[in-house]
Amino acid sequence: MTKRLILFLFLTLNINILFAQTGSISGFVFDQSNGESLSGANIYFENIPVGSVTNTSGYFVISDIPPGAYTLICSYIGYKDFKDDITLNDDESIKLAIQLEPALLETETVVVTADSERTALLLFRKDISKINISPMEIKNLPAVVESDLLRALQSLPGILPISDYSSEIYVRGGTSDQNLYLIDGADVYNPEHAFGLFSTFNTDAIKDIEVSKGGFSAEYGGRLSSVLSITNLDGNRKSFEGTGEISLLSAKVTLQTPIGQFGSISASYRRTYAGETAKLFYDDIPDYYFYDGHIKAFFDINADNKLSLSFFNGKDDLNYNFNSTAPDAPLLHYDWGNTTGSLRWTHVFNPNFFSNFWFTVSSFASNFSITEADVEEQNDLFDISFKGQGEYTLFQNLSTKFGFELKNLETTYQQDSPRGIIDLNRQRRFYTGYLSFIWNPTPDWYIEPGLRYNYFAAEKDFQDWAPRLAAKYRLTETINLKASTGIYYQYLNKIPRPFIADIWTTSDVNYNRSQATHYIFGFQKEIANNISLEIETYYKDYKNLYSLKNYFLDFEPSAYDSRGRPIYTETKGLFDRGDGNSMGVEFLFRKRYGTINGWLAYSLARTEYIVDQINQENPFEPRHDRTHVINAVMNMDIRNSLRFLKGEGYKYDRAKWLFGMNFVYSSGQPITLTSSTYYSNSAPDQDFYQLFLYPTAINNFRLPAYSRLDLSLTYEHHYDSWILAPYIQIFNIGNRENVWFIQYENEETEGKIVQTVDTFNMFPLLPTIGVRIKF
Amino acid sequence: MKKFAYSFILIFTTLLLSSCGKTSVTIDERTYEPNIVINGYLYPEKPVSNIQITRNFPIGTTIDKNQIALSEASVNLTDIETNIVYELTYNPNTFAYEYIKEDLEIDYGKSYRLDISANIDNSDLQASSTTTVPEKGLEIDRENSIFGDLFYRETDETGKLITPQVAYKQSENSAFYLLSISALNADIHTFIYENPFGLDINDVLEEDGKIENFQYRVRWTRPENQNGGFSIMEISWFQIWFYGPYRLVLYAGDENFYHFYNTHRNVQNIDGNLHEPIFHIDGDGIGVFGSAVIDTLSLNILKK
Repeated sequence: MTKRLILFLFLTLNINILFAQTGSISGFVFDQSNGESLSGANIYFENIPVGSVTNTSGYFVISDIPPGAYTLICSYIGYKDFKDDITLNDDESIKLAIQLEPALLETETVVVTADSERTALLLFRKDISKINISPMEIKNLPAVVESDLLRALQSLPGILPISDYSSEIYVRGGTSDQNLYLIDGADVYNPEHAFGLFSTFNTDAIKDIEVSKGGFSAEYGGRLSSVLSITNLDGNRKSFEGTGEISLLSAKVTLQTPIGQFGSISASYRRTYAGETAKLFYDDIPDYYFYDGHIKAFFDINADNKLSLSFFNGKDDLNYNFNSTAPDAPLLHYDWGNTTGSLRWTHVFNPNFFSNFWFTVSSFASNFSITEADVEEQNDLFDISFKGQGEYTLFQNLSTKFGFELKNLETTYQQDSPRGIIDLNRQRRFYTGYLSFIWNPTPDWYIEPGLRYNYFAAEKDFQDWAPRLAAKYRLTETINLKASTGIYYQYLNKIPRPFIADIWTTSDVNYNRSQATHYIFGFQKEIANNISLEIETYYKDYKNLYSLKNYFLDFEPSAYDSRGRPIYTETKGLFDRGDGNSMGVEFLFRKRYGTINGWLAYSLARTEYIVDQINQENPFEPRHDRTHVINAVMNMDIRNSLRFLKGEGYKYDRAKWLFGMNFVYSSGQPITLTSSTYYSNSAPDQDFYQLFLYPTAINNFRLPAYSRLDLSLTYEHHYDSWILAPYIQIFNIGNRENVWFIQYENEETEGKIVQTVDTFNMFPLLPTIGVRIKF
Repeated sequence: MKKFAYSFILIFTTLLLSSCGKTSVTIDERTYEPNIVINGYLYPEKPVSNIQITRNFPIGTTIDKNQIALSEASVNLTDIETNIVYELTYNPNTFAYEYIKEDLEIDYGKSYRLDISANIDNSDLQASSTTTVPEKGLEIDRENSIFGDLFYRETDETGKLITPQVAYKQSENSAFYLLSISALNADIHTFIYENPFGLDINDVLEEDGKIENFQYRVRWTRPENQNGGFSIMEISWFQIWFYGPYRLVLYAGDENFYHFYNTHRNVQNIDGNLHEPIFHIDGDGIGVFGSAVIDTLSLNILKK
């Protein structure tokens, strides 16, 4: 048996090539028009069945190539194929910088040609549960006021919102704190603007988005459910370029320019004036705005060294004067925002050894105060990290990924009020390392075992090994099978606070780390060129989930201040502990490109929690559970669609009408209703009797199904060197009254009380107009 | 061409129609379970009175306040230490149960159980709850309190607001301290229109608000500074909405009172969902059977 195994490995690892003279081809792939590196481009030979795909830095390597003459092809969706005849000598290592020419001039739209490679092969290269969505697809989705990354993701299967009022995402039954958000490698902890209505990610500044809904490799960790990694634009290295957008509620601009021959810089800025606009229609509303800005510089030092420096800052600011005519009127102030910075050094040690090193800083800060109530609150988080990631190609069919991360995390929460002081200050260190192998025993197989080690240093230290395994198999020319499993750990807990910034705490002596195990199986079918069907089924098992207690009654102060006020410094008693599981199946039928593109998705899912001392420790469904969800998204170039229907070919128009549609239907969310009411008073001496509610068992009922249709229409006119695109977007065009929760009201007349029940609804019909400019 | 166009129109119309309209939520009898509602407290060295035993109602019921008391219930109080049972009787004037004989004196630090049997909607229900009276000790320290006559938002020589405050010594074994602030002459004429919030009580009443929400206020705190000295509870000026006399009642409450007070009014999250209050009642009962040691003080707010 052992002999057979060794022989099998010997043969499949192509060890014979160790004894032969071979060469390699490596390099980067760029967009010829702006010099941006392209991740996911395919590089292969016409004559022999070997190839590679560029990584997130646009780098590729094909090793162990026998000497000879070849035709190298590089293809990427939306670009013309690159072909070059190459002669490779013994031990020769060729380095290339491939420039791909955009296939169409109007790259502003998603109406581009498809890749020359088979759709099934492109699907095969994608990791399981990973979704590709381009910034352009996000911009084309009808939006509430602003194009928003997280809201756009909510139209994909397995990713859900909790309500229209929040951009937070719940991935495959996981809560919003189980998502890892990375922007140019730096962690972002509270990515929220406008009380959670929008995320902090400006879609104009984004170059690439990677979303993994589960089963992710050893490269990522620290969260239980998903990874959202965003890479911002490096900047146009060929010419000055700008985009702008203005609407009733906000304006934004993105500029990119080359820095001589060796780099580029991009900058974007966005600011809302929703408060000023609202004041035209309403009196006595708070002063409110948010802004965010991003600047990134990219330096192409030489073929083996690239450097990028990225900085982001965003802030929300709210001020309210309760009585503008009174000199001693109470003032409410609340501001919050993120600042991130990252320095990335990309270094190619040798063609087979590619690496990235990051130094990142991420900070979140919020300040709240009300003068009359003497309440002040400060909620800060500071993360400083150094991490490295390497890719080493051992053989043509065996490579390895490895890396490390050293993180120093400080969370501070301070609240000072007449009732006491809360002072939660935590300093933590988090060290991780990982190693995974990528093995292709045959071109039809992809196997990636991996292992991640976590060391979380708190008052109580945590050390965990997190194994991962992923496998992909090309069953036929058009069908792929995929599977993945892994153990995931999380050492952070979030204290959710609707509409205001959440507070992060960490695992410690009171709270064990959270754990999840993922099991995922996927099926992919190429229906036709550029049309695919993906089916994935998953099961997730959670241990030690923490949810904020409904009441804070059993806190014990650690000390008292000179005024006798209690000082609370411990988190004990803050959370309920529980376990749970999520399972489901998702269908995604998608056409990514063409004059009509979009997707139809359906997911069937169930999440259950069992929480200590809640619901008599019987399972219940959390509020974010949805049994059935249907998403339909369509983008259409109207003129070319009509031509297509008439049997005519695609034609470039200087002026085009673009139509967008987003439909969502989901089962109603679980809710706890009122079982009865009773009449009582709160303080014994106060003659103030009222009706109070007594709830049913937790989340024992379902609200009516949620349904919504959004539409957008854009008129895009291309001038010689610039584009003007006015648009109208209508959110919830049917003005459907989707219920968020139930309101109970009482009316008292002549000693009798009548109780009425009403619904609090999600967003009504919301139109937005604006104009986009590109120059 | 036509086939595609018709299909598109059909699908679009279907999606549009399915995303129109109003949804409704029906809360019917399925959610209802009858319960005995208890609202009563014991105070040391005081007679047992005003133990209100009522019933709950399905949502949407029109409730006649004078008909909710369960006057036919069997209500007994047991001294846990002696196991002596005292039968409470219904007083139709107060719509509550009381013990009128003189052989029962509620004592500091002792535990008492309330047992109730009643019939609601043809169901025989039973509920019981036990309270442990806090120890002796609560006493308002008048020397260090700021009370009596005060001008509204009165300031000292330096211009700093003088805030009414209640200094007190604690009772051992109490779960919390609640200061009940009641304006005794609250109406639209005594309302403080010069408040810094610019709030007008007439606007509130027009919008179906209740004057009692301004008339009755509270502050509460957990036991503090247990090592000695006195504790202070300040009454912020935004809790004062009327000129005239105020009654300040300070309670050193037991755990039943503490949990009831802080949970029964807060069962709805900001996202609208509900969660259970914490009641220390066994069987088919909801509400509170608690105990407290009390002391009182007065305050009088004057117009400048």
